[in-house]
Amino acid sequence: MGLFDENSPMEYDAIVIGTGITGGWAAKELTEKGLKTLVLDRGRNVQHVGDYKTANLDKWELPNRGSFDEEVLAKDYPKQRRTEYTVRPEHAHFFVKDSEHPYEESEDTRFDWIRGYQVGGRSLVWGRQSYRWSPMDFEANAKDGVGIDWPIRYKDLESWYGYVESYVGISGRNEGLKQLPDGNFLDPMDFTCVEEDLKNSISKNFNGRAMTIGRTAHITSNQEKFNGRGSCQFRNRCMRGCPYGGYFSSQASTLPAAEATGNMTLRPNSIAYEIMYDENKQRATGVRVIDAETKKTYDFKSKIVFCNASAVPTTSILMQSKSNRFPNGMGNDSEQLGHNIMDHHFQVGASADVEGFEDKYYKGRRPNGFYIPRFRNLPWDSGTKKNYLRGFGYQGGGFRSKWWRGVAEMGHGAEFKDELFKPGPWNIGMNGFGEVLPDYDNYMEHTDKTDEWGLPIVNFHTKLRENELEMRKDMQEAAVEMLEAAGYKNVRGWDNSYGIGLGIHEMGMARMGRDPKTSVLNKWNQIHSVPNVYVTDGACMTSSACQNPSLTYMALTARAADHAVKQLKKGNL
Amino acid sequence: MKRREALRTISIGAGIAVSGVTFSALVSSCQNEPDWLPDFLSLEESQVVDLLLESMLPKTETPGASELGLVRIIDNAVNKLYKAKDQTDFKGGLNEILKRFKSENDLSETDTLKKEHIDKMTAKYFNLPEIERKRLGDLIYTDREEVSDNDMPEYLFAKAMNNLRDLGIGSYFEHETIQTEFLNYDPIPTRWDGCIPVSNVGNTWSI
Ligand SMILES: Cc1cc2nc3c(=O)[nH]c(=O)nc-3n(C[C@H](O)[C@H](O)[C@H](O)COP(=O)(O)OP(=O)(O)OC[C@H]3O[C@@H](n4cnc5c(N)ncnc54)[C@H](O)[C@@H]3O)c2cc1C
Ligand code: SF4
Repeated sequence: MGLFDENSPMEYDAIVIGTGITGGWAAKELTEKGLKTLVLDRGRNVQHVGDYKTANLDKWELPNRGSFDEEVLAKDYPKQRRTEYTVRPEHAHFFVKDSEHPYEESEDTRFDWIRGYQVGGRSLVWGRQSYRWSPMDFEANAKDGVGIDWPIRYKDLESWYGYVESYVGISGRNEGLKQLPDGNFLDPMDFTCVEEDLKNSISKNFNGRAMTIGRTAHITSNQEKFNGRGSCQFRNRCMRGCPYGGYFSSQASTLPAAEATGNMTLRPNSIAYEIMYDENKQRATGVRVIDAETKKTYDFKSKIVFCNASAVPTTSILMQSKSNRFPNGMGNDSEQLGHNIMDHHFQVGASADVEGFEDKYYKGRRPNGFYIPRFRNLPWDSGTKKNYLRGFGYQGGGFRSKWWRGVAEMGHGAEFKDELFKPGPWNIGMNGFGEVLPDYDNYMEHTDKTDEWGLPIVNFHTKLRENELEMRKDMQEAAVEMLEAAGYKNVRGWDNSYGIGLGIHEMGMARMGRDPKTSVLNKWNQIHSVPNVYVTDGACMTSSACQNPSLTYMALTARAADHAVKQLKKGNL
Repeated sequence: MKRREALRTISIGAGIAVSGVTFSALVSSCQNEPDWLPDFLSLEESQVVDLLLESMLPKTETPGASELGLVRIIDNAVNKLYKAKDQTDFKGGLNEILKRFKSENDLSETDTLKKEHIDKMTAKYFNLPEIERKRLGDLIYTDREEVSDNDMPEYLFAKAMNNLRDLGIGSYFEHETIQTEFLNYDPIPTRWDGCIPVSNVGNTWSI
């Protein structure tokens, strides 16, 4: 990559803060449109393929055979471990250590801030589920009188969804659903036999409800269109980094494109600390950076700045960017900066055992599940109205159990052991992902404490409120109902512990809006009062819908980059 | 005798009497150049754990726990992965297990421990009447602080037996030999077929 060195300039057309899913897109779009762009990331460089050290390791080749080390977990990952799965030895190196990057939660509240600081950010480890939002999602706030209205509608984003989908490569099936628009998809993956059975039961027993295969950022066809990336090999070891480039990451996809233009200068280990502001010109002038290794500070100048450090760090950088004009943080005339934190609440659903498919199995490890799109409170169907606002979708899977079932049985001895070599009974389960409403009282703030680099430590105040708690009851009941209707055995509903953030879809702290008095960003993702600063990561979101958000962030980023370059050429920035 | 050979003699296939060894004799027999020493368990405990694991996961057409050396994996797992208080409980549980061998089989300190003693105990534990099993199940999920002094030996015993079995099953089926030679090992499947006859595959996929 075009790595920064002592001969690199200190002045650029554009600076992009962050190289995760959104920063990678900003880097690609801006450089392809001809801007000399400095791309910053606070983390170390991670080389595509070469730095995926665990990609091919089996259990017995991993430290402690791939199990948690209690001492390390307690010391380094007390909060990151709340997911249970992100801190496994095979990919823990792509997540931060809480011991190095601490944060606080105010009393009686919890915020699960799960993140990775390295070039590529969380694009390396994300779950790759990619869904468009629908027209109803952009209209919901206005209709319900919750939060503020989105300054854009689905049609503003529609062509940008198509644009990013084609480049990312998303496997999925078009279903013609109003609540989950179709897209430009590569070949869909199959259901397993029991998933197919559930799908048939749902369409027979629940009028208007659909089940589709997950739409996921994996190359399953047309491989030749993806600049040397390979097709997915169905290994399901994606969180370790994919040596084939089978799934979308910044490393596999956007950063090489930016690099190929010759316009990108990448500077890892660069903590964006503050966006500099010129009061006379009323514009940002560049970004102040702390070198994570040497702790020296540098001022880089640019005509535009793209904030893509992910929702919390971007908000934090804006909060730190204080001036006479902005005593409470850049662009914070509305006092909304840091507020309205949203996520998707989940960890509630149901599971069951399925009989009658003992002669069936599957080959490969599908890195994907099924998806049941939202079916509650659909504006065009009054029969779907509930006692809460908005809705949820389910992600799930139906597979045969392995030897672990032996742990639950009290068996032992020769017969027991030999039986465990055979594929076990089928289980099916689904986990709801629900919309979280924007609420001013869910917020983050800076404390007086600082971390190793002198950056303020963030404190969170977030909790689920009545609407989400009501929705959760329904999320469990509706899942139980669908599994029972399919005739499955031993149906069990569950509601496991969840704290805002655990969905790893944190968003909303510098929201877009029509009115500078109630929002931070305008409809092009520019700070209302500082138009050469764009925020296109999750911080910009005005509501959360219930679909996984990254595809929407990508579409917003590409759209904003297009706008920025046009405005720059017109001399408006 | 090398330690590995010692283990092999103790844990040869089902039906064959194990060479008689006392708890203490086992230890001394291995004192000249043992090829492996446990980190967490005592040598005596490690030998009992090995016997127990083999009794739970005996050699058939597929390998048994002993020949895979699962005791080594488990010694490492308990040493590295358990919290200190769980380690103490595990030791306490092993101590209860040893006591029970001796009392239930009418063995004295110097008597020999035979494979059938071990099998008898595992069979008894894993075939408890439903009501007993439920009682023990509830007991081991009780908050440690709330277990009465009276129940403590039982609690430690049942917890250790369960932990051993869980660790045994996990490390057995995730062992390289089992995964690559006995289950269906397919590190790079290249394709996904969602619904095919199980007869095309046979045993479970390893990963
Ligand atoms: C396990 C997991 C599963 C997920 N599954 C899905 C899914 O299925 N679908 C979906 O849509 N989303 C999913 N997500 C969420 C998804 O990863 C995020 O929405 C997405 O990565 C956000 O992109 P981003 O560019 O805003 O932030 P990130 O990808 O987090 O990248 C931010 C980058 O900014 C850098 N940075 C931070 N602070 C600074 C600073 N001060 N200066 C310089 N650089 C900085 C970081 O090092 C990082 O590289 C998942 C996340 C995780 C962890
Ligand atoms: S499942 Fe596909 S994308 Fe994921 S690591 Fe394997 S080959 Fe790569």
